[in-house]
Amino acid sequence: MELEKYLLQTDEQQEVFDFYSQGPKGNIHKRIAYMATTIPNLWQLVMGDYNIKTDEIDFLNVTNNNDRDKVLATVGSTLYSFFCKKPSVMVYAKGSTQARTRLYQIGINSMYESIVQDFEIFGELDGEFERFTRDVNYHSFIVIKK
Amino acid sequence: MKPSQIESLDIKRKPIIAINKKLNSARNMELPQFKIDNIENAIKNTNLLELIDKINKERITKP
Repeated sequence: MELEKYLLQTDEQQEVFDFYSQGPKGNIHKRIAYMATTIPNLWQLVMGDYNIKTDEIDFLNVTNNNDRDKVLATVGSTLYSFFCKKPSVMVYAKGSTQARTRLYQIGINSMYESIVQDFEIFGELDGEFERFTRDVNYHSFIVIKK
Repeated sequence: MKPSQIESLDIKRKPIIAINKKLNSARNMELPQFKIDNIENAIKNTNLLELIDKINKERITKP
């Protein structure tokens, strides 16, 4: 089944993605960004509410806009775009809070069948990254393109 | 948005994406310290570097 996703805008390198979450709380400007780290080929995925006035991302705000699955599918779709430009890198993802990390887990679980066709996923459990298994609550994730 | 601005990057998944050059500058944003700490903690306290090393070696040895 094709998951519903938001329309995205991105920069020319496809590292920053903007979209508007739409729901009962209104249109919330969201930003997903892939940021280079100090480790070569390791990038970090971050996401939050973009504040146009301060030009900053609020990583901790909880929107509750009743569109969780659509947002998660949108995040998933950015992986495809990001890896189009940088197929050999690795992406690290950890939520700003435990609840948000849990959301990532839910997102990976719900899109697992599609994701594993194209990506390998590792989850961190007690200091060890292992191949992702559904229904295990990991602390962070690594995604690579197959 | 003009149709010409829409670029379908992956037909299989159908993400609809428009390139917005104004976002180029957003690549330089600074991350809050806790996001930097997340990576540094993973480097220090997990087998992340071993995993990266293993993945890189596997990629090199693949024909």
